[in-house]
Amino acid sequence: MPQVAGDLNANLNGGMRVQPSIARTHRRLALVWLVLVIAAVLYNGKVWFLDHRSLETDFLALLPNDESDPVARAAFERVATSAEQNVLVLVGSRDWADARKAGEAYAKTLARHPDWFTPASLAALQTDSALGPWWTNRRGLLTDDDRAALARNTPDDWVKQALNDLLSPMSSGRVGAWQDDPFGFFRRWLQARAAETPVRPVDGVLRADDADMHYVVLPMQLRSQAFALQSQREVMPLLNQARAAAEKSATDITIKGAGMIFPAAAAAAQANHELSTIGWGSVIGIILITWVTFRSLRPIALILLSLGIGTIGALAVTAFFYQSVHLLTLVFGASLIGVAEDYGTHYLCMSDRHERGGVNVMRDLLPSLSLALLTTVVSFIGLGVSPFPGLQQMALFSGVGLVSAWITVVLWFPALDGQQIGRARVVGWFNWLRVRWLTLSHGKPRVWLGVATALVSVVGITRLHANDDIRLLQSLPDTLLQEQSDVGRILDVPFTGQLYIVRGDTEQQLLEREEALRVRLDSLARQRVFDGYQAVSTWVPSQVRRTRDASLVQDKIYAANGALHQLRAALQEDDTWETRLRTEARALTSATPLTSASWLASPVSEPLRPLWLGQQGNEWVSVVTLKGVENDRIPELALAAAGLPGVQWADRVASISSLLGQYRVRMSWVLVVSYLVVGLIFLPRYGRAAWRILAPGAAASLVSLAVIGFLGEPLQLFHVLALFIVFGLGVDYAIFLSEQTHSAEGDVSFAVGLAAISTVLSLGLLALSKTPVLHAFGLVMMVGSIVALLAAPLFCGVVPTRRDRSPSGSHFKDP
Amino acid sequence: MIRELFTVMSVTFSSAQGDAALMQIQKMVAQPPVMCGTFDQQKTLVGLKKPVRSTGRFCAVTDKGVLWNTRTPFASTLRLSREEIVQSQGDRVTSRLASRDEPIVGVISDLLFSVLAGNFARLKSGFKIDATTQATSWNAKLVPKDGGMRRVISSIELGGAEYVQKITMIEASGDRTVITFANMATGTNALQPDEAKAFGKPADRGATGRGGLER
Repeated sequence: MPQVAGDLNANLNGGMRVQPSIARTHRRLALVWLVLVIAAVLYNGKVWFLDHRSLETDFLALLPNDESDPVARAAFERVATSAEQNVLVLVGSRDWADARKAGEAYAKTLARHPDWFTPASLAALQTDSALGPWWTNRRGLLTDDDRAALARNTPDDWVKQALNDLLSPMSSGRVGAWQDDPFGFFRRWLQARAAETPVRPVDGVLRADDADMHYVVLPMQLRSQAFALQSQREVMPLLNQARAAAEKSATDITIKGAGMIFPAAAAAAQANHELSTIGWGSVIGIILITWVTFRSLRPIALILLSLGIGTIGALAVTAFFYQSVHLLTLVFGASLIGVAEDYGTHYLCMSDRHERGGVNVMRDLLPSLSLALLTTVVSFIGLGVSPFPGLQQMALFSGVGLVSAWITVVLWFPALDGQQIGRARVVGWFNWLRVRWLTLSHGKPRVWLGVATALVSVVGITRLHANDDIRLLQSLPDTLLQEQSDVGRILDVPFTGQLYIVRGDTEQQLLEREEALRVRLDSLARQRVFDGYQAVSTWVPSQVRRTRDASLVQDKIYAANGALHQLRAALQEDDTWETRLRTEARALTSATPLTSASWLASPVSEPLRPLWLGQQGNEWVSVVTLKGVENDRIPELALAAAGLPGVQWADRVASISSLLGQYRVRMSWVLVVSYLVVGLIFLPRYGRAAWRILAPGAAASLVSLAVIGFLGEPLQLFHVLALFIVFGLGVDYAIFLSEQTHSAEGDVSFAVGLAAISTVLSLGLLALSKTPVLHAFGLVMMVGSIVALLAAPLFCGVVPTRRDRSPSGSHFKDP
Repeated sequence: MIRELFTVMSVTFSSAQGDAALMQIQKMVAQPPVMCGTFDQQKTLVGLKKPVRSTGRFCAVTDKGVLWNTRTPFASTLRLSREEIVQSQGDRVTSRLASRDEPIVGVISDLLFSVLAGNFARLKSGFKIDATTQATSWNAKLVPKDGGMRRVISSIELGGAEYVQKITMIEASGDRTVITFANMATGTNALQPDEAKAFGKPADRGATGRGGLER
């Protein structure tokens, strides 16, 4: 800001005389700015239209990576990314044939767009090689029940069971021939694996049932990110097309979709819809007001020009520094640039009072405009120094936007504002209202007003409660939430908000540690604390466990007088039969070991692959996810990790929420510090009256907080962010009113009033939004800008500056 | 050109004939709501010299499922319904598979019921069926359409008249099961007291409206 400060000093010291050289310099600078603006337009064109960069809509992308632990972060990212790209669609009917028909229609529609969707392949699962590694290692694979039964049962029991199986008229889901698994250990182990998901291949498709509904399950992989606006725009119509095709193919078809793309698209669509409805509402409102005021469209064109250039500059610089620009940055930043409207309005309201030409007006206004910019930018430095990527991006965007808009006003407006801009009687009405307001609240009433406001604020603020739960930021349509939770229930899929991270020095140690954790989890699941879990060690038991299990089977089944021997007698087979089975079983023990590599290579690992992070530096890492977790049972699950080496409980929902809370507190302090810093900046100029510059913004902030308290809405980070803008507005209004000369008072006040009303129309209307973040933002802006408008003249009529401290300079005495 | 046309025609013709045969079978088969009889089952298993023979009684009750009561070589009961498959010896349940844990239970029960009852309308959706009919009897060969299913069952051959009389199931592993039925009886009286009792339980469950087999 050295240049602005320099201008400021020049103005303060050099007085107001205009020299031709200054006009020339002004023109030259205006041309330089034109070149820069063109460059920014071209750069934006390249980035958004040629490179097709897309806006980010994932709220989580804004958050800092708080986990000091990179492995934990990688784990969450892995699970989240896989979840983000998965789309699960259930096409169901009471009649299985209808469901199949509809499922086929759905899949067929999407199959025409292989560049967006990769359907999961069922064929791979049904090859013999898919289960090969387990088939050859079946001797060491036991279910928990069988392990317990082996310790308990006599060989006679096993013989009975084997014969029972033998007599069954069905082959009851065996893999291979009866003699390969006469006691059914492997069959039951596979059944236990299959029981982890209710999805079954039936008639060449995946099927899941829910009460009397039969669903065809269509798992797909998105080829793009769910949170990229562009992919939402392309993918959602295709999914809707497919849905329509499926619904048409048979009667009474129910379709349920799940996957990040649905809530992400719904949220983005809602935000988009509101930005456009509320946005258009505000544009029309502002145009109307300006028209009524100036009876000309030129001012509105000029202001839109300054805001447009502010946004273009901000977008270009942000896109240059950040690969992905977030939708919320745009919302927040564009609102903040809206503050820049104050500059233009201020200039336009003043311009026709001077006959000396635009540049001279600008020179008169430069001190107040510069101060206004300086203070707002100072508060954004506070925002930008936080290690919060979202806030940094917003700070950069807003800062650049403000400066660009400011430069546009300062350099271009004098040349573009044309001749006289007439004003209607509105100014008169407004000033009549203002004077009424000032006289009504003059003297004692003003004191009472102050006391009442303070009291009400205190009561409201004591009612404030903070709640940073990230789930409060969700605002999905109920039908969508229901669909997602239905799909979760029918398919029994795990949550990814909470999980265990397991580490080991070697793959085997990792698997053993998972098994130790699973002992506790099994017991919790039996107590119905939660439904179940997903872990790689269910498919790849540790070497230790398999050796132990194999020797258990050896003792009870294959030993000299074990179950196999007795089964031979029951079947009246001879010695060779028994010897052959025993030899075959022994051969299995020395087969190639079962490792994570063999699991990964098999298509059966497909759904669980994100759980396996494998070797990360010096350690091996995996993740265990949970199903059917109720919020109030989370502490019990967290406790399950306690005391287990290499096992860590990680709760992303909680950690993000607490992070939001930390930043809410932190940003509140930054805000307080910003007030102090700006106060210090004003100290040399206004002396002890500097507090008056801060007072309107502060009062507006306190009343806004009180309103939040009275409405019973939880205080969140986004309220605090909006208070930053209220701060900027409040200070702007105060500066404009304080820097005015007595004669221009009516115009300046009118400019401030116009700016405030525009702010209410543009940002305040966001309070109507159903998107919680936008609502929080809009509410504070609505209350804040109205209060700032009302409070500013009370504190800062015409405050005498050191340069202009004459008795007549002050419109009213200090209260 | 002519040959291609002929091929197309013959394919159409044969499938029409197949359908006609199936419709004829469907007319022959009684499909009573309650059906009981005795069975004689012979399993020829890969690696075993002697086939394993078992005999006993079975019942198939619409909406309730199948009861498979083995009497020799030892007593063992298998009950299949849409909700569960339960194996027991006397009062002791030796294994229980609930559809809650294994959703395929319903499909397996349904399949066995359809095979026993000769419900070809039902079987048609999962199997390619080659059927031939004689004056009073019929034969049908079922091959699973689904590749996954074919990896377990290669084919099922059915033969019968008013009822299914013989089932030959050939598994992909080479194991082979031949079951012959006799002493068919229908109607509620066909159920012996212990059999009626065994069906009693699932009947209560059926009353919840969940629906058993063969809706």
